[in-house]
Amino acid sequence: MPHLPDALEHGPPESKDVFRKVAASRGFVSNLLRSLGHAPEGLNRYMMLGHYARYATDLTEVQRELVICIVGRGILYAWAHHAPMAVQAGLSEAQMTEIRAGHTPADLPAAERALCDFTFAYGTFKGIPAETWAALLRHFTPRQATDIALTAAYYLAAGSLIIGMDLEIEPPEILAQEVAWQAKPRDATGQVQADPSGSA
Amino acid sequence: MRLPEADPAQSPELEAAYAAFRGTRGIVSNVMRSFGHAPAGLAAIAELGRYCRYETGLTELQKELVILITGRGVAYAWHHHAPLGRQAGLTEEQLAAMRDGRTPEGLSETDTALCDYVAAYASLKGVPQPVFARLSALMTPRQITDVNIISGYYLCIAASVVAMEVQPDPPRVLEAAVGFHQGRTGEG
Repeated sequence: MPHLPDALEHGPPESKDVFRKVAASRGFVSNLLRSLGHAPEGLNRYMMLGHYARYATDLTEVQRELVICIVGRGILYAWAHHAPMAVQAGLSEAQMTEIRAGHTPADLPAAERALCDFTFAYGTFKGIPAETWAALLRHFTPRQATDIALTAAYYLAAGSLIIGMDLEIEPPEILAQEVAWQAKPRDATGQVQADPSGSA
Repeated sequence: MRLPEADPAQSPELEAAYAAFRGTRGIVSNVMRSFGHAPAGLAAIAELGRYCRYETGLTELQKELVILITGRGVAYAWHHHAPLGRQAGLTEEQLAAMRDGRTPEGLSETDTALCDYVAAYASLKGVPQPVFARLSALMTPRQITDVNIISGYYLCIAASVVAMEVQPDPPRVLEAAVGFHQGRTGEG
């Protein structure tokens, strides 16, 4: 992290408790959330919004990762984290290539195509065309449409942090750990359920 | 708004989220209502917003500089925060400069460096090292982190205002919000 001193080592003592909460939510502390450690309560609120976007929306895994990958398609850090999760959720490499190029994959189901069109438009800050809204609402409830917007919003903020702080991508073994964590069963609040064998 | 307004009378969770928001802002703004179909999501974003408004290590003026520069292209953000900027001490000339994308004249060295930093940060094109170095010589890591959090939060809000076609709040709501903020912060 070239810009601020590493908060894990140089942050205030209160940040340690928040980093523990981050690890309980995400399985590890990413460079993204680590970069906020100098403001522990700010990190806590930021992390909680991310927890909602990641684990508590009314979207499927594929739908959520489509939103994230579209918002983060131009950011290497975001792509390194979320492209593997999108593939794990069921997207093909060809579909990921289309998304990264800025196109809605034509072979997705109609609902996911509507979601992609909406999210591409969301990221332009120029408004959503009426036909794009209409298509979205044919396939998604108001709750789900709100969740799509909230997820896109959170990852837009995350993108600003990645770019602004010039965050470094974690090593491959950490990214692999994150992908495995994402697949774990969770309770209604999105927390990973305790492993009965005690090996979690 | 593009979505039908969610009815808090039909959702205790939403009523609780609105009550919590009203308790910290004095109103429930249209942008927060636009998240009303996802009450837990609304609560999460409102809590982050509460941190940005009342719990950072920045002055009132610094907070409003960050918000106004980040949201300068979105009329909704400007309608809400230009009055708060004035209340914090900004002149009409300084507000006009920010809306035009320029760092205003007449600010302190720290606040000038802050404006340059936020303009770069919110452009999503990276912060040049000299711009960061100047700010980090004048602000603590805590304060710079707070700047990042506030700017990111208001990017969230601005993007949602545009996408969800959030309508301006009526003048009486804006006045109530400004009065509430004044009472809470002692500014003005």
